[in-house]
Amino acid sequence: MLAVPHLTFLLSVIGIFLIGALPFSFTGTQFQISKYISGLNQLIYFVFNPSEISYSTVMLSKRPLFPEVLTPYLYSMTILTMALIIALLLGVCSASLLYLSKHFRDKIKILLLILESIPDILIAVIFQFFIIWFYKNTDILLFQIASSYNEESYFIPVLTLSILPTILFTNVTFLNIEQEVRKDYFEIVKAKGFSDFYVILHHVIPNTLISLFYNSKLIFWYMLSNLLVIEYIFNINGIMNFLYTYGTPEVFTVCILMIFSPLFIFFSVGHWLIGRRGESYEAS
Amino acid sequence: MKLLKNPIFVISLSFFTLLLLSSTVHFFILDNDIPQTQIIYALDGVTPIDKAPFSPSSKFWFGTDHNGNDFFYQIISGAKYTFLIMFLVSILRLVFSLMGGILLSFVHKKISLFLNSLINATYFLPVPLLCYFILYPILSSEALSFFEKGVFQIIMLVIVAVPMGSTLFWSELELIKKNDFILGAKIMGAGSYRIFTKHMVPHLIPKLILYYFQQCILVLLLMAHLGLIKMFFGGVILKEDVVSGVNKYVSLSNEWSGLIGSNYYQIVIAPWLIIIPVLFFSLSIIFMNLILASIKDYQATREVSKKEKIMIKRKTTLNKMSAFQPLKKSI
Repeated sequence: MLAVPHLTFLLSVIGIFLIGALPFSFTGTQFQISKYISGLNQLIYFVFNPSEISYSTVMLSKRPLFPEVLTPYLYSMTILTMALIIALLLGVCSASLLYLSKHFRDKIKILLLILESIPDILIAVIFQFFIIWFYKNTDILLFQIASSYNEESYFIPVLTLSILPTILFTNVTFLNIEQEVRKDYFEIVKAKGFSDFYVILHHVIPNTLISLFYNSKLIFWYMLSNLLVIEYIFNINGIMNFLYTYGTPEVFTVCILMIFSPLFIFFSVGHWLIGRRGESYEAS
Repeated sequence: MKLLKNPIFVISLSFFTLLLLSSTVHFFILDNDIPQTQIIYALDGVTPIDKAPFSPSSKFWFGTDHNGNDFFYQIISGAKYTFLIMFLVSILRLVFSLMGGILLSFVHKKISLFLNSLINATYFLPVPLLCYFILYPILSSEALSFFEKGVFQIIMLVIVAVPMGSTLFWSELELIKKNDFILGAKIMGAGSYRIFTKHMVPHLIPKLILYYFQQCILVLLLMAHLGLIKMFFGGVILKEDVVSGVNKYVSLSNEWSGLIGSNYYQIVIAPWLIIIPVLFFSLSIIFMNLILASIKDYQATREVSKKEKIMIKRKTTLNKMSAFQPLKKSI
């Protein structure tokens, strides 16, 4: 369906609208279609007049959504992108290193499986405890654990957010390397005398990147849910915390659209760049 | 069954059975009672030595919370809710996604592609937040009973996953339909129902089992996230803490995610109250993943042994045939 990206994008936007109007439609436990439709109308109206969307809480007066929301949005997006890049680099490197060391090659699978299943809450809680314990014992505040009003911390959120995606990338890359080395070109290049390391660096990794791209959709989803936990625990003024504190259905839908659009563009561009070469690697 | 000989599978399964068993024992025999000790007195029974919350020790295995409730019993008591919700929601997700997938395969291809694109957009939706918006007015209302809130939350948890599950099963069904034997069956005159039950279902069942356990893991993760943002199963009430006067959110059931969320504010004072439920969640997810991996291995070995059996059979028939070859060619 990505052969026609404009159509897919439009349908995806409609899908987001349909889901985003759900919170409007419930009174108590009753689902009322009239409220759902009026909620949809409200959403459509708001999207075409974005300057009118406002958020407020009990203590806060009404504030317009734009451009206030762009700060937490860009903050979260920066954290996500940085964490993704770090996770990708570290994952690919560690997978290659793991495969090259023949000692670890066979024993690593169960360990990777267990590491992969660690939930994000555990990582975030452990991190927080570690920093607090370190501070208590050495009186050094390692890094800003929680953002205050004006100062934004990048190091800890990016670090915490990148741990699990690194493990996931390592796992996927490792499995892919194992698949690739069974193919003929590996034997041919090795027979020519090149070392394992050279082959992996110059031939296997570019092939695994394609498969990684198709797997990155899952990893992105995982990182988004991870982001919610991390923003909550470390009290970061990111987009998830913003939605949690000030969320109303129209704010929610608009923010989801803002998150979804760059991801969609990223995947469409990726599909187009990979082109026909990646058809054999496509997961599903 | 060969699965039961797999030590990983047995250990993981026994983790769940042990917790579930002790939880039911606690509910029926101990009457769901959680012992409460607010102050420890010295031997004379008058002078207080220490007051709640108590850190883990030999007396309180997991410590106690601010009101002195023994945390060990709270965890055991909450295990049944967590696991029962997990099993129930996963089964319902499976059933409804399968029905959705079958429905999708009956409609015209263009309509199903259209619906596919519509649903794929919801993949990046942060589900805990969506549930938060829908569930918040329900869970904090006082008018509904525990049971009603619980049922609504379960229905919500099922609905958010059914669209994606339907597209997943639809693509699986389409993949199975591409096999040659389906075409062969159609030519022989089999109707849709027979093709489905006799040819497609045997290929679907392993995938159904894998889907079920994957959903168990995702439901556990979702419950942990929901507990963190204070959407407790069975309702959220704002209670005033008797000792310190701080308002804290309390869940009406001792379900694990409720334990995490309600005790989160004391993360520095009483860290065990957070770490222990989080640890139990992590262990559950890890063991569930191990179960999933061992089932995948079992399914792979089953297929391999089938093929090996066929190869062995073929070899033996060939040997038999060659045994009947004439030794000399007679002109």
